Amino acid sequence: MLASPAAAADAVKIGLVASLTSDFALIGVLQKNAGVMAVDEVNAAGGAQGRRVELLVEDGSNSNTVALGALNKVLGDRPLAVLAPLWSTQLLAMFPTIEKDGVPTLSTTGTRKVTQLGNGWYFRYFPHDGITKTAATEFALNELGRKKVGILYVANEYGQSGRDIIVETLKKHGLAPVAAESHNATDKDMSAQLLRVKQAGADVIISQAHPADTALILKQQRQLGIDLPHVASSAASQPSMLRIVTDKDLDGVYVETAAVPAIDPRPEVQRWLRSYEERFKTTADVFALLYYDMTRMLLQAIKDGGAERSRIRSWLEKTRYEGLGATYACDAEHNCNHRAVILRYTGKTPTIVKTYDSTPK
Amino acid sequence: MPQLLLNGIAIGCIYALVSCGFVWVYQSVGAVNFAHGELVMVGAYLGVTASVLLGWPPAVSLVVAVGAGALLGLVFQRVAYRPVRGRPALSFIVVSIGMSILLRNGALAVWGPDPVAPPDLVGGRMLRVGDSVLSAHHLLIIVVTALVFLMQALFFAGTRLGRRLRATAEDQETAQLMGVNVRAMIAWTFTLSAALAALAGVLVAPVIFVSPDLGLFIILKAFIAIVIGGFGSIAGTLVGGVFLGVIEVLTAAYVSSAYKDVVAFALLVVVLLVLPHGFFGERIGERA
Amino acid sequence: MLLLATLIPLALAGRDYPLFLATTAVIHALLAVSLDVVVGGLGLISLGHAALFGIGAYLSAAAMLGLGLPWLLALVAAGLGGAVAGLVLGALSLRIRGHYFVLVSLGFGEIVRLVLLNWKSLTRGADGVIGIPSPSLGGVAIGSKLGVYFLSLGVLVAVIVLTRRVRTSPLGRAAVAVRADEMAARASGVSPALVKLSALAWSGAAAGLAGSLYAHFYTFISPDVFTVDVSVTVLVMVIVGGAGTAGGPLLGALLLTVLPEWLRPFRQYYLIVYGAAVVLVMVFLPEGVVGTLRRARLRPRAALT
Repeated sequence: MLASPAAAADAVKIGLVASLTSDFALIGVLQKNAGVMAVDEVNAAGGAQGRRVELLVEDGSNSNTVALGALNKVLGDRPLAVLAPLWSTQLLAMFPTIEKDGVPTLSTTGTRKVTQLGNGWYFRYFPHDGITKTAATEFALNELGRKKVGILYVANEYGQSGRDIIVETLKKHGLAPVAAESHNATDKDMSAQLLRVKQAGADVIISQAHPADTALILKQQRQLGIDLPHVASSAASQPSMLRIVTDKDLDGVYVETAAVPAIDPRPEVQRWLRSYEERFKTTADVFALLYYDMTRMLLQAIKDGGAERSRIRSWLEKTRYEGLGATYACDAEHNCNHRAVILRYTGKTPTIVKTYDSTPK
Repeated sequence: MPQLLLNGIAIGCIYALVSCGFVWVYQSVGAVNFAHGELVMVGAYLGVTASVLLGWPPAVSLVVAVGAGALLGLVFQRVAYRPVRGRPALSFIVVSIGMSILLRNGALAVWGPDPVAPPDLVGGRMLRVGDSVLSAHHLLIIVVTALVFLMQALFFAGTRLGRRLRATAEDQETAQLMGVNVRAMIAWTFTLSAALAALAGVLVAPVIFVSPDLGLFIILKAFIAIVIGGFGSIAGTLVGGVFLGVIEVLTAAYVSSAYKDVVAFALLVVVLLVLPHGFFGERIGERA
Repeated sequence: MLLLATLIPLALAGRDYPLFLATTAVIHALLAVSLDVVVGGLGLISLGHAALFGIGAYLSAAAMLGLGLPWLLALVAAGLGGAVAGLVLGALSLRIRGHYFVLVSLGFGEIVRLVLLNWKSLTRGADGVIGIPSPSLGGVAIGSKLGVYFLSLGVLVAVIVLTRRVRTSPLGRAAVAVRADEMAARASGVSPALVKLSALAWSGAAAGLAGSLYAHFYTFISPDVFTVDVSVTVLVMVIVGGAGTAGGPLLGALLLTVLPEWLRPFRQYYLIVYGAAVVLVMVFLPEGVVGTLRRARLRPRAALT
């Protein structure tokens, strides 16, 4: 059956605010590509409700002000929904406008707090820190049998949120971290922090940092001969990190993340990866994969729920959706992804060693 | 503790090395070049492009990067310094701020936002120093830093070009009267400064990675290192850089890793309060 | 110019995005005007302005959220806080000159930002402060974008008028004397220290007010809003517009708020052009756009100079 391209008249509009410039573009561009890919696929198959889907793309760069400007600009065209950036500072800056305008907003942020503020229009498509960092901590305690946790975190909301969750989880087991050291995202030498963690008698390190600093931490940990198991955050499985870390530094490291498309055996995932790479000349990461799922789910909501904001919202709230990266089911706080995995790297090849899935059945 | 000191010295030498050319420019033309960090960053990128993307051997890449850096320095002074030469010193500060923005975003456009890590120049080996360890690459950096500073001292004291540059630095008008081609000296200064920056960039890239934002990180450290060591003194830059590195590591280890940068900046302020004209004296401060 | 500033937004009422831009431009203008007191008035370059801005923002937010004060008092608190911070910078400027002061102001700005980031119990750290209430006058909240715009415009106009009054007062004349020749000024009984401290305090106060407007307009602040980048941008606004001129900082603020939005599709290249523009303006139009225009206009009459 030949699918006819959707009618151009009266397009369905969706806003897309992502970091297309500045260092945030590392993830932003990958995500925007995924969104574009999803929309193109749906349009080729007839669109949503027979209408063409149109993306209104604006750059949020690395500043709250620019992101808010982008959102304002996009909202001027009354889109049905907005695909938002995953940076929690930008999201929080956008929240008042989102609530006032009443527009369903979706993104893949991990910072726990974002869905605890009662914004009924925001939907989260990444397992939040409460899931991932708890998984990492449980893994260290139960699977690795460790008790004395040393935390290394980057000094921003991402790192601080992660640290807080780790501390909370340890408390539930009647434990406390033996050390918690922070560093700035641009720091180049974390040996002091590493040594402090070692001095404190840690028997495992859990870190929450970005790709470049995680790579430096792993490198320096090995150089200092600190032979402790390390459970790193999802930054460590990012393509940008894999390009700068050496096999030796990554060997034996555990990483918590939401999904690992590269090693997913399912043919549909591999096909998706290949077509992404062919089209955009770059490797997709877990953030791109989940963003793709998120966009497809939104388009499905428009198709099945209706081309209207509150209908989209109710559909998203009630419907279970099988994506490529996870099965999505939104809870009362609008957290829709409840699956975390722990990987173990042998050189630069990861294998999934444990899955923590709390998706409601 | 000894391990910390070793690390502090290693990172301190990096700070000193990347600050090198900056003091040259300051001394000869009394100009604060805000874009110096970007010169280091571009040099590092050029080195990486040559060795990783084009596959040239490290030695060749180094030479290419330093040569290109020198060229960039030549162009830089023609475009950014000469036009504002007669004006109050603060004019050049603003121009160099503009150049730094230009170079940073230019690098972003050319190389993208991904951090890049060239391979270690000495194969990632670690050396034992008593109970502590030091990476061979760090040792290389320390040695090169010492050599560079030594050579600078010899250059300025022992060679004709060096002495002419010194004369220009101390008093441009008199130097001109004595037959020194001041314009050429200025061009030389910027060219050599940028070449040094490129050398530093290529050398430290494997340890701190390269990204378009590297310049900002470097210039902030350089300022502190230079102020501590004494704005007018090249040897002071070495001392200042190492001192900064050690202070950072010790603060992170014994006081608080979160506040180590606050301590560094506070040090900057305190040193200037105690010695408001730096070690070099009145020469620059009052021209505005 | 005031007429335009009043009429155009009225025409835009109900269109959120342009109003958002307009209000942001006004806040930027206030920052530029406050920095110009120091750059144009004293010939001193400061790269720590973001700190004064940030202190005002956090104080204002804390006053309303933490102490439950009405907005006008929060605004005053922001202004006072900014003034105190400005005094600290001013004190530093007495001892530290020229290039060194640029570096010190940079250090000052970074110290403030790092403290805001790490003193979690006081400032909520990297999480930032959310849910900052809209400004309110006499108990009535001003939530509409148009309302906030006019409020901000009001503050800007008040600051401009006051600054002009000061410029023509004895203190203002003393500032001109100090800028021209500090030693001669001192000889004629002017206290350079007093002038510098006053200028920096006033500059800080105005920046603090801008901080309050920002906090209550954007309703969310975090330390990463008040970075060196912001300080640099405001400086560029002043210089490109024309330091020391009446309209220069305003023009600069308008240009640097609107242009990046206009050129959104080309942002990457916009930034490169922006850097180049700073260089070009500094080289060819050292007095900024307004300064150069003013000089061109005066030239035929200034045959004696």
